[in-house]
Amino acid sequence: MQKIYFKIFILPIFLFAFFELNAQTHHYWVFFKDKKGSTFNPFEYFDAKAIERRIKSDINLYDSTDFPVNQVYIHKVSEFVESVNVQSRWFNAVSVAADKKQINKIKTLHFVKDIQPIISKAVLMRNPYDTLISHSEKDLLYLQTARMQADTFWNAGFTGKGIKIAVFDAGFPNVNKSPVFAHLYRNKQIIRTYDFARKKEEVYSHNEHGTMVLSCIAGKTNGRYMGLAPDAQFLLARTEVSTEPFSEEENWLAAMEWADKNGADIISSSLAYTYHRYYTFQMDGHTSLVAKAANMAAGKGMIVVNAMGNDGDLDWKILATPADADSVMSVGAINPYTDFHANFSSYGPNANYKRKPNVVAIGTVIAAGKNKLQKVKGTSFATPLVAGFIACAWQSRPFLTNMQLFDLIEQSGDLYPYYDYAHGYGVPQASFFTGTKTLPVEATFNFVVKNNELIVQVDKNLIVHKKGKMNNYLYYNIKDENGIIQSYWLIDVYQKDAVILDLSEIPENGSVTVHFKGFTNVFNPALNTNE
Amino acid sequence: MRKVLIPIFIFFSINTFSQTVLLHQDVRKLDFQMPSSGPNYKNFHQLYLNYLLIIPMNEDNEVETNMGKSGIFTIGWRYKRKLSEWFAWGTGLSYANAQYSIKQNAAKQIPNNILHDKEKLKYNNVNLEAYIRFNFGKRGNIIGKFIDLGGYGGYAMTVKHFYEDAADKNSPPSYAGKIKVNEKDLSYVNHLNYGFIARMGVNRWVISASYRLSDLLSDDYKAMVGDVYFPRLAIGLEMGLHK
Repeated sequence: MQKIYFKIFILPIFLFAFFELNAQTHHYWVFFKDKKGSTFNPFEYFDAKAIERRIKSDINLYDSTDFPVNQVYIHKVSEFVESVNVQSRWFNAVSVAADKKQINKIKTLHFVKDIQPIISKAVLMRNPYDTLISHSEKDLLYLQTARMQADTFWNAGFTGKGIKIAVFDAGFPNVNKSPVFAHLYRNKQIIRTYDFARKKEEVYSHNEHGTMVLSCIAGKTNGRYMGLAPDAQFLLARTEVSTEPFSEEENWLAAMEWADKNGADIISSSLAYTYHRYYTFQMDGHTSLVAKAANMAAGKGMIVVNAMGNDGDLDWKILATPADADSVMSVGAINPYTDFHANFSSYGPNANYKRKPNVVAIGTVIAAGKNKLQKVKGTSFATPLVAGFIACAWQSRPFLTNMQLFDLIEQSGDLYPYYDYAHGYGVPQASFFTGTKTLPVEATFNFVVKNNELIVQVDKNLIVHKKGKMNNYLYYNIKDENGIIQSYWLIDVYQKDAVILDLSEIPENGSVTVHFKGFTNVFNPALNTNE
Repeated sequence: MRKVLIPIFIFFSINTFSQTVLLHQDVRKLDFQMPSSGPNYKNFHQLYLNYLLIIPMNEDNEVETNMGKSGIFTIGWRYKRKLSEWFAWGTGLSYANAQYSIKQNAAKQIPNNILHDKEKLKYNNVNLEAYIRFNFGKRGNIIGKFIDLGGYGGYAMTVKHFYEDAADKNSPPSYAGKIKVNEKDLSYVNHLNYGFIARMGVNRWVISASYRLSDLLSDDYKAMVGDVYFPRLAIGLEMGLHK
């Protein structure tokens, strides 16, 4: 009897598992060859703001990527699959749930161009562990916006008014009830909401991460705004579902098109795809579908702001897609207490050695959770701070196209024109846009060449000695002949001869760039001159 | 005194006025090529722990063992060589402690017919394995879903016959509490063992099974007591210790 039991139950377990794995339903993108027969009226489809954005950026209103997907094709495909989930106008595709046999049948359809599996897992860019306890939360609440000179924006009347920000996240519980967002509700600033996982308009439930992120753009507590754009309008999209990891990438793409249709100017997203699906060499800004979609969004006049990721102190270390996309404003994090790179913040560059992150912001913040204020950290929270900053900047220069503003945001960084892959161009400063930024009139350091060594000599009078403060930061990097950074440092300076470099350490036709107290200069050994 | 003070002064001078490096990154060390080692790269090494329950089949010639008290604990190292996105082969080395808890009843004959409170046959094996792996689904640098099929062979470095008896408390002065005995250098056991293995897993979590083809008892001993054998099937869980 036991032998029969064994044969019937134990041995078939593995056979069953084998066939089960093969017969499982997966999610796929089915790309079509054309949009034959599709008609499109942009004035019916787009929000007025989306039309305005396109006209401002000189973008064709009848762009073929905005035409709807051929419904006949979708109907044909639906006959073969379990379900059709999401339609993408931009990529002329639909996402479907199907098994391998069904996919093989779809492949034979003459209008199908390509089929790609969707297997991915988004990582919410929040580090749940907080070990910093020595500073008061109130100071931090002030610092998270003050570090970007928020008061300068607000005093000049720039609060994000007239700018639409779409926030993509895992849920927004209690945003409709919390006093932190009462002003948004009172002033009807939340324009639209949509849960792409449940296909419903209600988004005020599930993961509180989105609530925290939104508070870092427009929350208000203790008489202080938590983000920079309390008067912006919002589109809230729930795209990330931890229990359904296969659907997140398609949700994100659908939300992107939804945001475009509803006139979003800025998209703030904390999603990040790393090793579950991709290799580091694929973080090139052109491989993942979400990176392509983010670039396409930029092509349609929006600014996509995305978290770099929290893998800085992990094996992966580098950024996560879609922060690798060229046209994405990729945001890293700094530690509010040391004012330099937060160890969890992922590093650049991308796999094509493009400059990422673009800018940084404070990554340990006071955010509004579902039921209480919380001190949290992650590039997720630096991202909405920058999104709020961009909203204010755009309000101050409404005539700019998205990419013109993109460049200015980089230029507003407090390290600009200095750059490194941990800090980007630094923390954006509001005074750049209000015209009140003060630049150092005189050089703060000199290059001296002596005995085949380059010595960076700083102005001794600028070295401030304050107990417990590390405020004599000197940044420098070494670039190769192609202008690509080979290595970079941040040091705290205590003496006049701040850096001594053997000239042989500098590549042929390379250069050394140094930044100290707001002044940047480049040393080129081939010319043996300061540029 | 001066000889002592000068070095101290120099030490403090250097440390007081030197710079503090807060951050240094060498971009040249970033590797954007396909690495050679990793869960879904060409080569992968991992350590693992597993525990398999020995499943009695209750067949006529099978030694009766206690289900739940008989098991194999293994700690091992495994290597995987990826040949394609869906196929790999590998090998491994492990230490396995197998314990067969023998049922105490009137039918008991192995290794003798004396009844005890507890009785076990303990094997400490070093095993080598070889397997092929079928992977399912596209993935990044993770192990993903897989099924392994393979075989193992090993040598029992030590085999112990353990039994335990509680003395009768009502018979002083000979009362000695519990008596535990470990017998070694057993003449009736087979030190070589081999069998099949099968595994099914997702990333670090694996359902594992082994089926022993070899006999634990020596041929000479079986010639005396008959063609008896210990349960051959073991099923349990495995946890990969990789990052």
